[in-house]
Amino acid sequence: MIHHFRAGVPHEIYRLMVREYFELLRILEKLVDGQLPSVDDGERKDGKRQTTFQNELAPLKSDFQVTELLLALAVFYRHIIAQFEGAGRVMKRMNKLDIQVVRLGASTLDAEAAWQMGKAVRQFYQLLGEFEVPREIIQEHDIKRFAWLLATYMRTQK
Amino acid sequence: MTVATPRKSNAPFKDKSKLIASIKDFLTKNSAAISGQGAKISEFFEMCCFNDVVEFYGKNKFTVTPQQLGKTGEFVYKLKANGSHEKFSFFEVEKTDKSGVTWKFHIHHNLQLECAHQTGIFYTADIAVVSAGSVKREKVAVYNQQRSYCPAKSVQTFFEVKHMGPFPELLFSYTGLVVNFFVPAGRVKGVKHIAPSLLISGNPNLHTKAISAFVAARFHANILAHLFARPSTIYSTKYSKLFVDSAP
Repeated sequence: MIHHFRAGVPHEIYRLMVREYFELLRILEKLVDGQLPSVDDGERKDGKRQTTFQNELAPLKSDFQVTELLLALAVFYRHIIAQFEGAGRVMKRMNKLDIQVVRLGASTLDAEAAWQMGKAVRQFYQLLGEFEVPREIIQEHDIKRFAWLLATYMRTQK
Repeated sequence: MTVATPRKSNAPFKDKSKLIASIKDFLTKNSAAISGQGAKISEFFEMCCFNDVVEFYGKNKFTVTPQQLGKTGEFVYKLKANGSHEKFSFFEVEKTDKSGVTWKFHIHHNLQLECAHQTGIFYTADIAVVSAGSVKREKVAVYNQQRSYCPAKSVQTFFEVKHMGPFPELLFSYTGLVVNFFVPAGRVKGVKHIAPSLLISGNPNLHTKAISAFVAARFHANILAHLFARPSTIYSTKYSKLFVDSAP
């Protein structure tokens, strides 16, 4: 599913995204199939041991392509959107200090670039809102918790 | 009488092809913003953390002044370990404490720090807060090239930035940097700095939270994680963290 995010993404970044996506997908598949022993916090909720962690992930199996798609969306968020958000904050502060342009090696970041990035961030969150995807799922780095949040969300949507 | 019909859900698992189409549309509309930034997108998180550290001093009533701006007034980030510090911009922060002593520090990006226990060996800190004017540019014994570095005694604090989720090896290996490049002894009261910190974009799980607490207790260093979701962790007083006094 990560190939849906290929268009326009710089090659170096896309390569990192693909690597991360497939690493996480491999773990996710094992979690869903119960092949990974639940030995740490992945099997805990509110500090209590959860013996049924694999069962809790059952909704992910119902349409695994959706799970893959949302994982790809989370990887895209981490590599592109979150970075854009950070750059936007930096430019805002720089403007307060009367600095209009930031130079990063051979390239520059200016008000126009910041505006374009801000627009992309807004449209991304609109897309999440339109498809009712909670931000906390997309922002989750821990794959076990991502799986658990997504499964819980899917269960509530049935 | 009209009967209210339930709103049709757009949730992705109801019709994933619609979500895929929307993603493609989003990428087409924003291709200029995404492709235009190129590979430097991956530098943005580090740049953001650098500015959050500067924000911490701004919020603590330091006067913040950008220094060594480029020819057209642009702020020039140092993206690599090598290169003269004189060619890149940095921030100067200044404050007079209650006893009337004026403190002036420089906040650099990718500055080499000399080991606290042996001269001639270095590590490049992603973000370093050092005493004003303490950065040297010289040829160090045994090396052919000149290098810009700050002696350990002038290092106020430093930060390592990692754009990933925290994991045990990463957290424990950071403690080696604290032990070898930070001098806790001989500090004087006046103004406070955030203790040496590992800044991580990803969120911690129970295990890495426990390791972070251990690192704080044993090494007096912060592991500040989940910065994507809580970007103000570095400068906001809302989030607890450890502080250190200033090096003289």
